[in-house]
Amino acid sequence: MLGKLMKYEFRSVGRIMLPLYGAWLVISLLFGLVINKLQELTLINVITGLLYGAVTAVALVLTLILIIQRFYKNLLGQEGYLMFTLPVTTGRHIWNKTISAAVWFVLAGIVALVSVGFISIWSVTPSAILKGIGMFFSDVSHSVGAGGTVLLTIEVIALVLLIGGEAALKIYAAIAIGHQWSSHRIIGAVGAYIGLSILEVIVINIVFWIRNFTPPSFNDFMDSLIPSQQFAAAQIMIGILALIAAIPAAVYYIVTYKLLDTRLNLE
Amino acid sequence: MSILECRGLVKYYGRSRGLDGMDLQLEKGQIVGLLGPNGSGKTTMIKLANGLLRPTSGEILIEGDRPSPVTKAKVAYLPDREFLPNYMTVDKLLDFYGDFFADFNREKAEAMLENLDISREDPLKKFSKGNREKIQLILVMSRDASIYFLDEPIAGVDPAAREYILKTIISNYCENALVVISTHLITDIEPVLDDVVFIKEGKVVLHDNADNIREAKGKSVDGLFREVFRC
Amino acid sequence: MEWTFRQGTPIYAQIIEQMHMSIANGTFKPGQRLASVRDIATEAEVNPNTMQRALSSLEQEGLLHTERTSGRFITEEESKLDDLRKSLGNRFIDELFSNLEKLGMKKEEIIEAVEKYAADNRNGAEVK
Repeated sequence: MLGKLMKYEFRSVGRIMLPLYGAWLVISLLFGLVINKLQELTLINVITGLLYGAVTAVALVLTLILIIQRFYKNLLGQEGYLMFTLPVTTGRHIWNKTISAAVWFVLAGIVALVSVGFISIWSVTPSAILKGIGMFFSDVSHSVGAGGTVLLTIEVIALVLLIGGEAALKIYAAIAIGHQWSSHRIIGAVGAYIGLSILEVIVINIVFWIRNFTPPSFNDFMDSLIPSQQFAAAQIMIGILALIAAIPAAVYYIVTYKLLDTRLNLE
Repeated sequence: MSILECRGLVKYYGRSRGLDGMDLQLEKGQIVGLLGPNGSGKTTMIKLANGLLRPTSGEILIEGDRPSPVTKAKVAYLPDREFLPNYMTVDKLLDFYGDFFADFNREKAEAMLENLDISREDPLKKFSKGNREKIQLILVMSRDASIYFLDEPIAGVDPAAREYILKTIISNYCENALVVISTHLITDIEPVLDDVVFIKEGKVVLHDNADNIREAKGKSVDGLFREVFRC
Repeated sequence: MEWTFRQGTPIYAQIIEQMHMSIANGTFKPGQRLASVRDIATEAEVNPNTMQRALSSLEQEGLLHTERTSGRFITEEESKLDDLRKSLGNRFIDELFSNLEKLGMKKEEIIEAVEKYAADNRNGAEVK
């Protein structure tokens, strides 16, 4: 059932974002071509530059808006009468939205990187870019081995997805909290989001105060280690970051779940 | 075991009482009218049966089970509003229903849509309001469910559409299913009903067979309704 | 067939009434096969259980009979159809007498009025 939910979720967002990503990449190619051929500052340069800036902003903002809207409109709006009468648990619905949001956050980032690549593709040949990427990875495998590189890459991707999921769940929890009042729900959601952020800061300060902990310099720390220790350190680093993301994510999931499961009140 | 049962069902919204202790047992093979003025608790009861609300106290049981994904798989709900994603095509909506409801009869839905000359390739927002409502009805009635809840199916609808909706409900009758029609417009719907349930201020005040009422009281169900609910 | 229902009387009874008329006046022919309960109920826009109740009653009267596999049929027994027409006819005549008596007419006056009316209005031109 989760797979089916995700299929329709992807289609709903994809029908808007995929064409937009296409336009984004086309404009980056255009922009790159223009600044490559016309080195001086001309009107065309400026226009394509602005166009690129605009489409980038739209893509990033729209990603955020869609993630919010898919939760707010599809689950708590009129469509909620459809979604919550499906033979699917509340948990599945939340997982569906969260995974989708995380993927679209990451995709936006990836397409942003690719668009930068497309801009420079006219000045720097694709093979040069790939060579640069290849060199980075071989440096890494020099320290941690090929297998280690793959593992780290996977872990980093998973971590980014986790962070994206946590960001989404915080938004969802805020929306669910704001939904508890019958009017001014949007203001309530914004207020709840701010409230949750404040809570996060408080908790972090309490943790640091308890552990009497000041974060060391990351680079100095890594330089002081030999390669095999570096790999272990990287793993631990990733693990800690994952925990820092996972704990609030779990809390926000529970809040969202409890509110949607027991205190749902569609219009 | 009754197919739908309410036991001391209570639902408070803050301080106002949506349902104030509702006891009801409905059997399969019937078309039942849930009749009451606006705000009497009809929609609250239906939402509780569909798991869209949690009871404050008491319980509501679908074939003996509390509302859950298991009961949702056999309960079909037509709300009194538009609830389908507007941008989806009719064809995709058929896919959607077929994907999530094992009891969805796609051929039946397609036949009914064709009868109305409704093109499957068009998105929902391209159709008139009347057609959108008919599409919703067709999707819901094409499920082979144990209970159908129809909330105000003929309110604000022209006579031709009303006829279509009533005929669809009757021809869809199944002796293993219960159809609950919630409405405050009784005259058009009463010939279609087996039993009627009057709901007043969150409680059941009458539950009887429609023809029995006509026989015993010499008036239509609508006439009795006006009597019972006279302010 | 056109179905119309009044308020205030049970629908199953009204269905029986209208079926009586339709069978008696030949709208339903002797031996004709009826559609399924659900189809007739849909056409009449009434509850199928109510329709079933009415049809069962007609079956008990002997105006319908059910063949296991092939469905419900109007009776072909002339005696039953005659009885039906006779009883419906008597009911209408009774109504006529009741109404005219309310106007103060006596039995002989009624019969005379009927004969005069038939002579003036019912010669040749058959009302369909």
